[in-house]
Amino acid sequence: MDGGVNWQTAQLHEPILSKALTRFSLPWRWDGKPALLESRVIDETGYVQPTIVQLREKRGTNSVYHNNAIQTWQVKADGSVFDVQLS
Amino acid sequence: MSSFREMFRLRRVIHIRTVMPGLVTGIHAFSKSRARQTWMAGTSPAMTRNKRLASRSRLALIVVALFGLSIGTASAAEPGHFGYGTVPTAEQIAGWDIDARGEDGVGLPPGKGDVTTGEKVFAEQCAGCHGTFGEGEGRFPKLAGGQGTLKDDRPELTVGSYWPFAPTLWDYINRAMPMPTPHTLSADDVYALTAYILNLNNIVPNEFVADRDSLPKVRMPNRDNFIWTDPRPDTAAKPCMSACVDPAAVTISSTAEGKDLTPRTTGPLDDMQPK
Repeated sequence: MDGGVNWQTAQLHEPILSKALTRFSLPWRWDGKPALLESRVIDETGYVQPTIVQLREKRGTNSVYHNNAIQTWQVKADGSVFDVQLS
Repeated sequence: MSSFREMFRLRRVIHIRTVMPGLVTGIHAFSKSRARQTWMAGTSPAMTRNKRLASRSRLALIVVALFGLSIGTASAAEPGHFGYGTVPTAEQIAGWDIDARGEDGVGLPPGKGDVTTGEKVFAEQCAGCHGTFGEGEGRFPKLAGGQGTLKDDRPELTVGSYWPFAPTLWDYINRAMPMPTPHTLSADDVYALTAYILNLNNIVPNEFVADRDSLPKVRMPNRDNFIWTDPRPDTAAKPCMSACVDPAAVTISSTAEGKDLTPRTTGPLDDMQPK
C-alpha cells in the first residue's frame, strides 16, 4: 500500500500449482488517501520477486523479455489508478 | 484498402475473443463447473483430425491434457485431486505433441518447401500484416532486417537479427500463424514460408529447400549471443516485511498517466471497447 515500505502476507487460494497462475487476496480498506499498491511473491526456494530497479541493475534497460519485476499501481485521492514505476 | 482494414480488425477481434476465454478457462478450470464443459469440447473426436478447430478448444485441451496425465486415474476422494477427467489417448496426445526443437530439429515432420513457393504463400497468407518483404505493416512485427539494432533503445527483433534457430521458426509458424487462422497451413507450406523468411534475411540462398534435414543445419546470425545456461535467479532481494525502504525515498520515476499508451482512436484494439 506504501510503495514497498511495509509488507503483509496475503492469502493464497487453491488451486496452488507450480508454474501456474495462483490467486491471492489481502483485505484492504482504502482510506481515500493516495496509495502505491504492490504485490511481491516469494517462491518455494526463497527467491524474492525483485523491484524494477533491482532488475535493471542486473539486466540493464534492454532485456526485453522475462520482466518479472514487482508492478506498482498508484491510487490517487480521486480514486483513479495509474501504472507507475518507482525509483 | 479500407475494407481490408475493416476485415482485418474484425478478424483480430475474433482471434482475441476466441483465445481469451480459453486462457480464462485455463486459470479457473479446476475450481469451476465450466471445466467439465471444456473437457467435453476437448475430447471431441474431431480434435486431432480437424486442424481448423477453434483456438479456444485447443487451448482448453492443453490444460486438460496436461492435467489429465496426472489425475487421470485419481479417485474423487484423493486429496489434492479434483476427481474428474480421463487419461488422454495416444492419438489425443499426438495431436498436441507438435513441437520442433531448436538445436537439432527433433519433431520436424516430413515435407519440404522452397523459397519461390514460400514467396507465393507468404503473399497470400502473411504479407497483409508482415509486409511483402517482411518489413511489417503498421504495428505488426517486422520479420526481416534489424541486424545490429539489439543494443539500440528500440531494438528490432526479427528472424535475422534475433531468432536463434531455424527449426523453431518452422514451429512458430506452424503453431501460431496466420494469426486469425492458425493450423490451416500444410507442413509443406510452412517449410516454404520458413525458406522464404530465411531468404528475406539473407540467411539462405534463393535455391534453398527447407526440410527436416536442412533446417537444423542453418546457422542463425544471432545464435551465439544467447546465454544458454539460465542465469536466474540473478537478483537477490531480501524477504523484508517492514520498514524495508525509507518512505521519503519512495518516488515515482515514471507513470503511464497522460501518456496515452492505450490508443483509443486508432488500431485494432479499438474494437475491443464496447460500442
